[in-house]
Amino acid sequence: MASPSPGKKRMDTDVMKLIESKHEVNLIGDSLNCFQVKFCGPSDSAYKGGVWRIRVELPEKYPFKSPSIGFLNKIFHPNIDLGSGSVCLDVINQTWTPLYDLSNIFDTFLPQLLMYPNPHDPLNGDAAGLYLHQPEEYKKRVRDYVSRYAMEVSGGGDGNGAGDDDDDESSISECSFDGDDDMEMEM
Amino acid sequence: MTAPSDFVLTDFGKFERPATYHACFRALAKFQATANDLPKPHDEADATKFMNLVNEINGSELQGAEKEAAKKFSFTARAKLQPVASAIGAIAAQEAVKAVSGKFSPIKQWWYVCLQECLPVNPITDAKIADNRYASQIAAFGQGFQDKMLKQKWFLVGSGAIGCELLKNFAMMGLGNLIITDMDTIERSNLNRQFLFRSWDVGKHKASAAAEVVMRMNPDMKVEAQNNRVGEDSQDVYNDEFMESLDGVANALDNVDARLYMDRRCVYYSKPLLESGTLGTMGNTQIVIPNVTESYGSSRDPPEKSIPICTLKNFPNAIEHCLQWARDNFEGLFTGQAGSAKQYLSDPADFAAKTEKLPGNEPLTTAQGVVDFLVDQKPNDFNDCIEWARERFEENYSTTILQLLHNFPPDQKTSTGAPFWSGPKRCPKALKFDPADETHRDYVVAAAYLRAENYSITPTKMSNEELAKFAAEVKVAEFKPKSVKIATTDAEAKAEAEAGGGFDSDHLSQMFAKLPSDISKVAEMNSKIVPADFEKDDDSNRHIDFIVACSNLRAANYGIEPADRSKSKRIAGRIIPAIATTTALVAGLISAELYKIVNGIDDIEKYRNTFMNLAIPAFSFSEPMAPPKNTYLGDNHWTLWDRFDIDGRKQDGSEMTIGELLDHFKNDRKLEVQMLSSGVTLLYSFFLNPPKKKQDRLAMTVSEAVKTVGKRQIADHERYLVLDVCCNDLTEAEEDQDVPYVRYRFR
Repeated sequence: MASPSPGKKRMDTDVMKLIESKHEVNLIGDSLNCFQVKFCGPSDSAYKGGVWRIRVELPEKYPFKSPSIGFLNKIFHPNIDLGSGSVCLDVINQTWTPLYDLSNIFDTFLPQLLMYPNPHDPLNGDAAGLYLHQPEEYKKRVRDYVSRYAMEVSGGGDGNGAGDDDDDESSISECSFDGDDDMEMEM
Repeated sequence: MTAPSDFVLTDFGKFERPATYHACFRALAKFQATANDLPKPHDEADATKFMNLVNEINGSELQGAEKEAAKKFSFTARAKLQPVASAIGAIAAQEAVKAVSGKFSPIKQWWYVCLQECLPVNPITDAKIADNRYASQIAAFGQGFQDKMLKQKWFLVGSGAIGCELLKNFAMMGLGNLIITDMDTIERSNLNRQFLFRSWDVGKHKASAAAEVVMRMNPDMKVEAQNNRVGEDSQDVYNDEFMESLDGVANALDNVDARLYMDRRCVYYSKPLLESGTLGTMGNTQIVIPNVTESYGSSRDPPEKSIPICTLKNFPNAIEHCLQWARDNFEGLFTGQAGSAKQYLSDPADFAAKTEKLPGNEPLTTAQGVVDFLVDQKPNDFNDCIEWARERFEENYSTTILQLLHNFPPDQKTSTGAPFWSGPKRCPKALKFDPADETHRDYVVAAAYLRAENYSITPTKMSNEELAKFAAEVKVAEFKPKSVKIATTDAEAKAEAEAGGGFDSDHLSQMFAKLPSDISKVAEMNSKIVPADFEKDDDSNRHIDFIVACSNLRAANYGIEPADRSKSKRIAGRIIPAIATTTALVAGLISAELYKIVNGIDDIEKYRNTFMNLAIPAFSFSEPMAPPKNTYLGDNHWTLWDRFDIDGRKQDGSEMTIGELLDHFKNDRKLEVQMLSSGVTLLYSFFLNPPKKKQDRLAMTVSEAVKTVGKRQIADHERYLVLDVCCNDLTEAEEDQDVPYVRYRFR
């Protein structure tokens, strides 16, 4: 036994805050450092109407180390790995500071990432290429993926990463559309 | 001597001290000349005589703090203290090396360090001129102090550079009982500074060798040597009983994680911690005193700059990027796949089950990797290995580069019209395999041999030139750019979706079906698979050979200056320079802090943390920080040293339930618990769903919940659990309260 690390308190309060916020959160198997959050595509983007389950993992050194973010159902985006759904860690790290908390990720970081991809540091080279060379085709492809993989249907849009379908539900509220948010464009 | 120019100022709280000491040393010489002896320890009469001499030399009478300092100087004039010797020796040695080598800047001119805070608050009445080995220490601190030292029990974590220095210091100081642990064995490169070891000790366990030497230095000491790594796995050895019996802990570690761990243990058991570290000529010491200072973990260094993935993957611009890429390449080619394959062969059913549970797309990629390694790409002889090496060359230094250039041509513009390939993005060019090129040759040679080793294939006897020629003759596929096709028909879209790797169990099972399952065959294969274990110091294993060639070829792709073997090894092997002088200095300075602990000093103003860089040279001594103060419910103050101590054992011998724990907080502490956790396991929260689950939880005992929900074993020696609570007050506003952690006794 040892006294808790300085980051533990932050982990506790940040998770509490996220759950008490309007976001729909599912803790995976009673663990505080790994959970799923429902995320809706920003309404002023090709990702509008898409619904994704985001997996968040808080590392041991949180909040000094940024959380890792993964999309559990497929999304076509230059900075998101198509196969694993992982968001490019560099893009997160470029903006993450220990002063941020988890709601920043869902209220600001992810919507901005989707609306303004960074094709010059791509994880999905094909998506980056399309975004640069053929923007209309890029949007078409994005919408195609949304309709195939990111529609909120009971049973999910695909079998990708079924995750732990626990009896554990800590959901508090429904996902609201981002038009209602007052987003701060600070980054 | 009589007209000193500069004094190095080390402690900005004592501007005048160096000048005072300078006068004191001159006075001491005079005193010795007339009295034919040094001032008697802690003797008022001699001190008065001494002070007169000082005032004469100084030109005026010393006042205030300087007067006190001069008096203490006289009181302790006969003292020769090991920590001081260690520090001065280190400084002097470094200056000598500077003089001889011309490297680094010398100290200008006089360097004094004041350690008078080590003296206890109350005057010392039992100082005497003893005639044992501790005489020079007793002259400073008295006999009673020395007796206390012999009864001290300390835990020294690590027996490397700092460990050896600390051990030697503790032996000379007469620290009676030590337990020392280190998992490492002695290596040749240790001998330049881990001076308790000699060439005949190479291969022995560090802790045991060090303990033996030190007990010969001072037979009064009891030093117990162990080989354990400190961490959660050794908490049964370094358990409550062990930790509680200590007077303190000294860290002599080489990584931050272990330091943070020991720091948390010391906070938990309320023990002082001597912490120090070095990096080349830079060093620092930090003293941690329960309820007085903050802890080591209270402050954090800014995170080390890690190389962004995209830079590593596509846009290197420095040789460090190429070296890291080469290192990752090595892992991927010679360790990862072979390791997974071996895992499969050791227990096929278990591996299949574990792989299915991996997140995202990992099940497929892992399975594919094993299939590739054991079936699709398995080499049968050394020629196959050479062919494989040539293919890897083509893939890494030609195909991938050409594909990148296809997506981003050399004249590519960004959305603002500026050139894409500019600044940190260097435009690459593909390499064409040439057996006459030394680096090309080195690559295929190293790669072929390492591949053969993975499969226990005996290499054919051939010269490197012959091998390279053979490689040159291998037919490689012509480059065809992967174009980004947009599916225009449903059929195409479907085919693409399938190809996109939509993961499903069937696909995975198909893959596993390809793998060998015959028990005898599996065992035979398993014995032949040998994953590589990266070892930088064995020149015959070709590991560094591969890294150098792999990295320099990538450098050639991107027009980056290559690095020679020595530089490559240093960067890829993450070798950190270490010298004996810095080590001795930090060990000396932190050992001095131990005097303060044994003398019962609890005034934060008397303790010192230090920072130094022998090269500049720069030294700074400062007071430690006090721990931040927190408050809950208006007037309950606490720091990181405090906690809620709760006894969960009830009168009838049973244990508290979670519900009862919550009641305790509400009734006895006026706090409403919103969330109760043990590590990252959530034991209870107000948002727990469905209601039955919540009820069940409230009815569980705390330890039961930790065991079942947390899926953790509770060891026999454990009596306490560490819990975290998030609480509100009981008012209508339900204000969040900042509360300490909980140490909960369950049996």
